[in-house]
Amino acid sequence: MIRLVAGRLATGAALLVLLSLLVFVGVDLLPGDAANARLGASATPARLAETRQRLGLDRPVLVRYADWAGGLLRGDLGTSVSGTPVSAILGGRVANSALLAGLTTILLVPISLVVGMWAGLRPGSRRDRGVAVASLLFVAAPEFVTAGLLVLVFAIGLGVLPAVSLIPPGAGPLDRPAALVLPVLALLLLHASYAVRMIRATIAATVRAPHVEFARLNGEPPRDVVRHAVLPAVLPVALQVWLLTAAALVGGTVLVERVFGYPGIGEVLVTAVRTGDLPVAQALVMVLGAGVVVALLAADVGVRLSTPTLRTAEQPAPVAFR
Amino acid sequence: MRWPGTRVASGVLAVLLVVIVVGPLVAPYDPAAPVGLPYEPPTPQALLGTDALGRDLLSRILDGGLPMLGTALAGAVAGSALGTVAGLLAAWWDGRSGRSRWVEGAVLRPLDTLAIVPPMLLVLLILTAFTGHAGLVLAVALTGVPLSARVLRAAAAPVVTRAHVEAAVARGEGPAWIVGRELLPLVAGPLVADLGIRFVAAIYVVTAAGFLGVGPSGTDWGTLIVEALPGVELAPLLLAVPVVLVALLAVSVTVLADDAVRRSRAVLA
Amino acid sequence: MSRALSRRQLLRYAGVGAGLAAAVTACGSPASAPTVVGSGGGGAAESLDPFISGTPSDYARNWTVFDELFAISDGNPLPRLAVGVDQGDGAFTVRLRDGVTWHDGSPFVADDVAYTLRYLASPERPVPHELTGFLDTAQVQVRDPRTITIPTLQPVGDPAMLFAGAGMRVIKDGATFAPGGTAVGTGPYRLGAFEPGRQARLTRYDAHWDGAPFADEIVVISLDDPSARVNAVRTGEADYAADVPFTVARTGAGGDDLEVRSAGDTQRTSLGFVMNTTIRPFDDPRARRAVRMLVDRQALVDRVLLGYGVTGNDLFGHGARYFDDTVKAPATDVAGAKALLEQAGAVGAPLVVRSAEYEAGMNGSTELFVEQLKAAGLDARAEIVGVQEYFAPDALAATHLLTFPLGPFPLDVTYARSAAFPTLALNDAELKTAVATAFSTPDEAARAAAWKTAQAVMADRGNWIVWGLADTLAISRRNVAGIEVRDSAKYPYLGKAGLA
Repeated sequence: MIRLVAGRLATGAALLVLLSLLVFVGVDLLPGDAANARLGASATPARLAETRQRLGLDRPVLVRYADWAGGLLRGDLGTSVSGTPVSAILGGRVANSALLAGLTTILLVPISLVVGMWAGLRPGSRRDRGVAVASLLFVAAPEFVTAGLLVLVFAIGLGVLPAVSLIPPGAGPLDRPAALVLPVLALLLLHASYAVRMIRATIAATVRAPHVEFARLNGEPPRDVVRHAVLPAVLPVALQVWLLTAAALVGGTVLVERVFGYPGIGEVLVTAVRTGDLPVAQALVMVLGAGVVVALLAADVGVRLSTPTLRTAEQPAPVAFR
Repeated sequence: MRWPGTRVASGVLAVLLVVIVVGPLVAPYDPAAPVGLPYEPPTPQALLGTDALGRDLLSRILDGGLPMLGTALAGAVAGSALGTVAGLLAAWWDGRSGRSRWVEGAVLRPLDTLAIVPPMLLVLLILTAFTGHAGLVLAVALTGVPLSARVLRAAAAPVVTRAHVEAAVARGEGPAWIVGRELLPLVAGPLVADLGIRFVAAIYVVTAAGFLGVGPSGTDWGTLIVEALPGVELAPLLLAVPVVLVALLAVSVTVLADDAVRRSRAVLA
Repeated sequence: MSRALSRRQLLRYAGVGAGLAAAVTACGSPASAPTVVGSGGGGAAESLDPFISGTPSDYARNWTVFDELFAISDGNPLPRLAVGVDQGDGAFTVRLRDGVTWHDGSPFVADDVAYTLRYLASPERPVPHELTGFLDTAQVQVRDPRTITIPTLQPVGDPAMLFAGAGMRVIKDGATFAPGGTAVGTGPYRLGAFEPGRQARLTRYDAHWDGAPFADEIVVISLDDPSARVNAVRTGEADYAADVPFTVARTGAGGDDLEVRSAGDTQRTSLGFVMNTTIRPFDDPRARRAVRMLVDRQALVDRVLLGYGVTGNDLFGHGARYFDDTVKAPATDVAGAKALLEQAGAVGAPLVVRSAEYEAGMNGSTELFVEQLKAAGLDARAEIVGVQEYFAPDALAATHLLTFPLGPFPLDVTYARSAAFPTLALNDAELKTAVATAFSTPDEAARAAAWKTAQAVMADRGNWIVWGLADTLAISRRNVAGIEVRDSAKYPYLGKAGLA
C-alpha cells in the first residue's frame, strides 16, 4: 500500500509538472499577454514594448517558464496583471470553495446511499421510477438554472433564506451558515442525483445477483440480507462515486458561486479569464489540478482498501468518470 | 428495463431530432430579425412570444436546435474518437505485449493532465483562445478525451487476448481488419455509451459557457437559456422552452446510453 | 435629511470595469445608526490603491476614502482638495484647501500632492497613468504647504478639468498599498474591514472638511452578477444596487419600500458604433454618411434599451460641458444612402461589425444593427468576441465597425479616448486643430468655439454612429438618500449618503 501511494504520488507530481508546462507554454500561445491586459485600450506599440520589457515578457518562453515554475515550488504563485500577488487574490477563496465542495460531499454521502438504497432495493417499483426520473432531471438541468429557481422560491418568494452569500470581511461562510444553504442545495441536487443514479443501479443489479437471491431464499431477514449481502457489494462502488464527485466538485462550484455571489474561486476564475489575467488563471489551474490529483489519489486508495481483490493487485483501479 | 424508459427515450429523441433537423426549414420568421417589441407575450403571430430584442422565440427555438446538436455532437464525436484511438492503442500494445506498458505511459498518462484540470477551467481557458463554436467543440473534445480513452481501454483490454483475436493475428490479418472486425464490435456498447455521456456533457458545456459570458452568440438552445435569464420575470417562456428541450435531449440520450452500458456489460460478461 | 435625490448628478464612464457590471447598495440597520451599503461588480483583484481601481466597487470605495483635487459636478470641475488653479508659463500652480486632515490626524499638505504625482508616474505602476502624458511630474515644486507648481509637457488649457476628468485621488506622502494593509485618506469615510471582491466596511470620519457624513457606516459589497445585485436589495440584504438591468424597471422594484431610480438625462451613456476610416469603405466620407442615414436609431432604443433611453445625435459626449446638442443625426433615407454608397463605390462591400459585451446591450445592438444593414441590402456580419480580445490591435484594424460606449466624460477625455487607436480615430486636419486648441487654450470662449468646430466636423463627416443614450438604473430602498454621482452612476459617490 505504501508503495502504491508513493507510486501514485510520483505520478501525480509528474502530471502536475506536465500540466504546468502545458499551461504556461499553451497560455503563452494565446492572443494577447499581460502587457496587453494591463494597458487595455491605452496600449500603443511603444508602450506595449516598454511594458513587456519591464515585466520580462520579452524573454524566451522557456526562461519565463523556469522562473514561474521555480516560484511555484517556493509557494510564490506569481503576480496578477493588476499588480497584486496571486496568493493574496486567491487567499481564503480556495478555502471557501473547498468548504462548499466539502459540505456538499459530506451531505451527499448519506443522502445518495439512503435514496439509492430506498429506490434500488425494489427495482422497477413506482418509487424506483420516481427517483430515476427525478435524478435524471436534476442531472440534465444546468445547475445555474436550478440555483436560480431555488433563489426565486426560498429567497424572493418565501423570504426564508438569503439570495446572495454576503460574508463580512474577516468572517468565513461558516459564520453565516444561512448563506451556505442554497448554494449547497443547488450543488447537492446536481451531484447527489448523479451519485444516486450510480448507487441505485449497482444496488438494483446486486439484489438480482445469485448470492443475494440465495440468502433471501434461505429465509434471512431482509435487514440482514442488506447488511451482509448487498452493502458489501455496493460500498466500494459508492465510495468511488463519492470520491470522484468530490474531485468533480473541485472547480465544479464555479457556476453556483456566481449565482449567489459566493466568495470562492469562481468569480476570480471568470474575471481572470474575461480580463485576460493569465497569471491568475495559470495559478488556479495548478492549485485546482493539485486538488484533483489528491482527490483521485484518495479515490484510488479508498477503492483498493474497500475491495479485497484489489488490495494486493497491481493493476490500476477502475476509474469511472461522469 | 422493466419500465418502458428506453422506449420512451427513443421516442422522445426521435421527435426532438425531427424538430431539430426540420426546424430551420419551417421557422416562420428570420430568427435574427426583430418582429415586434421585446418580451411580447404569445400571440397568433408569434406563438411563443418575442425575446429580449423582439425576435420570434418560436423561430429561434426551431433554428437553434441544429447548432446546439452540431456543436455538441461534433465535440462528443471528436473527443470520443480520439479517446477510442488512444484507448485501443493502449489496450492492444500493452495488453498483447504483456509486461511493458509503454503506450499507457506515452499516451494515456499525458492525457491525464487534461483530466486533472477541472472541466470548467479547461473550457474557460480554451474559449479565451478560440471563441465561437470551434472553441466549444475543441473544449468539449479535450474534456472528453482522457475519460473516453480510459473507458475504451478498460473495455478493450479483456478482448485483445481472446481466442478469435489471436486467431485473426495468426491468420495474418491487417490491423484495420482486426480493429474493424474483431475489436470494435465487442467494444461498441461502451463506445456508444461513452459517446452518449460525452454528448450530454457537451450540452452542459455549451450552456455553462454561455452563462459565464464566454460562449458564442447565436440561436443555439444553450445561448437561448442564458439570454433568457435577465428577463425571466417578464417572459418565463423564454427560459422554460429551451430548458425543457435541453433537458429532454439530455435525459433521453442519458437513458439510451445507460441502456447501452447495460447491454455491453451483458456482452462482455 | 432633506439633501435630496435631485442632487444625484451622475457622470459615468462606460466600460471601465472590463466587462464587470457593478452595483451600489445601501443597507439599513437600527434607526439611530444608518448603514449604507454600496455594492459593486467584483474582482478579487480589487485594490486599496486608488490608481489601480478597476471595478465599480473599487471606485465606490476608493472614491469615498480618498478625495480628489477637483471632482466633476454637472459637467463642471468642482474644487475639492484644491481651491483654485493659476496658469503660468509652461506650468500651473494649484492652491490647496486649508484645514484638511488625514484619517490618522495629520494635516494635508502640498507634499502629499507632490508624492501622489510621483507615485502615479512611477515606472513600477502596472498601468501608466494618463496624467503622465501631460504633466512633468519629476519637476513639481512645492512652494508652501498650501501651494504647488506643476510643469506641463504640453499646454493644458483647463487644468481643473484635466484633474477632474482623470479622477486623480490624493494619497498621503509615503503611502503604499500592500495587500492586507489599510488605506489612509482624507475622504468622508475611513476604511474599516476590507476583503477584496467581497465587502469593505467604511466608518464615518467626523472631521471631514466638507462636513460630517450622515451615515455611521457604509458597507460596499462586491457582486458581479446583475441578478444577484437586484436580489440582494429585494431580499433586504442591501439597500441600494446601481447599474441594474432594464428588465428590472419593466418588472418593477418588487416591494412597496423599493423603487427603481434613473440617474437622469445628463448621466446617460452614449452607445454607438465607430467606423474604421483607415480601410475601405469608410475611408470615404460618403460611405460613412450613408450608413448613418441607414440606421434606425429608435428601433435600437426600443429594443436594446427597452425604451429606457433616447436616440442619440451621432456625437459622443452627451452630458458633458460644451456638448453640442443642437446637432441632429442625419434623417433616415434608405434611397439617399444607397445613392451615396454607389458614388463611393461601396455597394456590396463586406462590413464586419465587431462587438464584445463589455457594456450591457453591446452585442444585442450589434446583432440588430447588422440586421438593419442587411435589410438595406448590405453585406454585413457581426463578429462577437470576448472582452479581453476586443481591443486586439490587429483585429481592430481589420474590422469595419465596432461598438463603443462612452459615459458623459469631459469632451477632452471623450475625444482622446475615441482616438486612442488609429483605427478609431478620424484623421482630419480641421478636427485635430480644433481639439488641440480646445485642449490647450485657457480662454473660455475660444475653447467653446473650438469644441463647436470639432463637433461640426464629426457631425459632417465623422465616423461615429451614436444611436442611443441609455439610462442608468438603480434599485433602492425608498429611504436611501443623498447618493450622488460624480464620475459614474455605476459607482456613485457615497460620501453624502444616508437613510432619510
